[in-house]
Amino acid sequence: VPLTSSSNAIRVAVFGPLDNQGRVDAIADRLRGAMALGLIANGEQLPSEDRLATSLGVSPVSLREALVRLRADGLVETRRGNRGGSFVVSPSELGTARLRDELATMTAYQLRDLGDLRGALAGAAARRAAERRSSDAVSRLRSLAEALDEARTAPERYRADGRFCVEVAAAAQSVRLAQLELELQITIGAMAWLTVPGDDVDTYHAHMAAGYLALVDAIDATDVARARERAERNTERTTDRLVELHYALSDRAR
Amino acid sequence: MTRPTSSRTADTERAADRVAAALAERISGVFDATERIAIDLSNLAAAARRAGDPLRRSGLAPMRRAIDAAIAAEPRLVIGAGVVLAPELLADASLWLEWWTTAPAGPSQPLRPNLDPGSAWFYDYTRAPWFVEPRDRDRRAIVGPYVDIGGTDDYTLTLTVPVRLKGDFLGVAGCDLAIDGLERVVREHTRRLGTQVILVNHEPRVIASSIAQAHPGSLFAPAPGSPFERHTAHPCPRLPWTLIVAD
Repeated sequence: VPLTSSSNAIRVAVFGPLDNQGRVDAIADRLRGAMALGLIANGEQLPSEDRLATSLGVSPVSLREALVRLRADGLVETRRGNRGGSFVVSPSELGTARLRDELATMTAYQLRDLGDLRGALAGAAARRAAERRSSDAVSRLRSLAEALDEARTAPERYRADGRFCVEVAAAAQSVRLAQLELELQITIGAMAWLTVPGDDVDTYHAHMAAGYLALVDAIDATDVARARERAERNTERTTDRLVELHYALSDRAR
Repeated sequence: MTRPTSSRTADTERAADRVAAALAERISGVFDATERIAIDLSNLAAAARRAGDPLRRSGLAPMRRAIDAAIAAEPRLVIGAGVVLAPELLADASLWLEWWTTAPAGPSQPLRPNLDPGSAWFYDYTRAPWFVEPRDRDRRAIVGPYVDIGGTDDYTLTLTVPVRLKGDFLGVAGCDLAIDGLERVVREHTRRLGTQVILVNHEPRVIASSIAQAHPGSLFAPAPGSPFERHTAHPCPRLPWTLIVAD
């Protein structure tokens, strides 16, 4: 999911290049996002450059260049020798400076547009998860919502948030919804956990944890309408926060 | 079995029972291959115990043959197989899966989920129903369909058997079934019945069906006016599955 859309975006989505961000940027962003979300674990060895390039469907040259950037950011470490390779250095921060710049340069309209997409996806997933309720999934979701409630640092909160959203889509019995949710989390999930001076992220955190628990209750009760409504309300809260953060960041940048 | 409420012939009833039995037989073959993987693990653990050496990850390599055999015996149905070990069984990994998955081309690939308990994406298999049931009740389990987030990330069913050595729980041996493969198998078996059928698990969740109103993954709840409002239920022997046949 590209972060921003331009004019003619719908036609571009059909006829345009598969990624207009530039291959290298796209690869680096995707790997960076997966690391921030904790999907690639600290110390994990990345597949060999050839295999990774093949599985990403990019040229080895683009991949190597992306890895050079990640190395410069301290996110990847290369060790030589026969047990060598590229290893992930898990970020202890959210990659804050880059995210701030990104959020500052976006517009309220773009954030609302992405928010609509997230709401549609989360609402559909929640609805199906309630309709197709499984007691195993409900207990998983409950412990993940509790994990978000207990998370203290920004990366912990982002990861718990992201996993919860992906697991709701999994509880809907849909691999495709889960994949899309994961893609959205990697693209914009972290931004909501940024902070600006004078901002009350703990209140937002408490609201989200409570909102997720309320969603689990609705799924548990197989209340399809309430599940959808709860999920949509949760994403709206996030969109509102993103817009507020955006205003604060872009005002400061000016 | 629910008594038929219509005039449908006893022949159809018997045919449906035969189909339920044939499906169970097919899955039973996968359980047999899984038991062979289980025996391998308990033999390896017994040998290690005799030698006074702790079991290590590298010591599990000989299991590959039984694992690949389980996949090869049902290539359309089984998309992964292996063992999932009890915590602290191995000397060099507190949690471990020796699990191999099929690849579109080439040999099977090892599954390497996140086993770091501190990670947000920790694949905590010790809480998975396919691990808990064989451990706590000492019996076979067949779980799903479900989306295996953090494991295969696929929509799958997992069947497992407990592995024990003189009463000590070593872990489970198991196979993942492809939902697509299973749907095709069910279709082959049920096509000849000449009536609408739905295969459900214990929840009852639809595994496969012959009508558009009962999608795989949804819970079976016939709406008024549905062909399934009146139906007969044919349990698959030794499985928590039921073949539901419309009246």
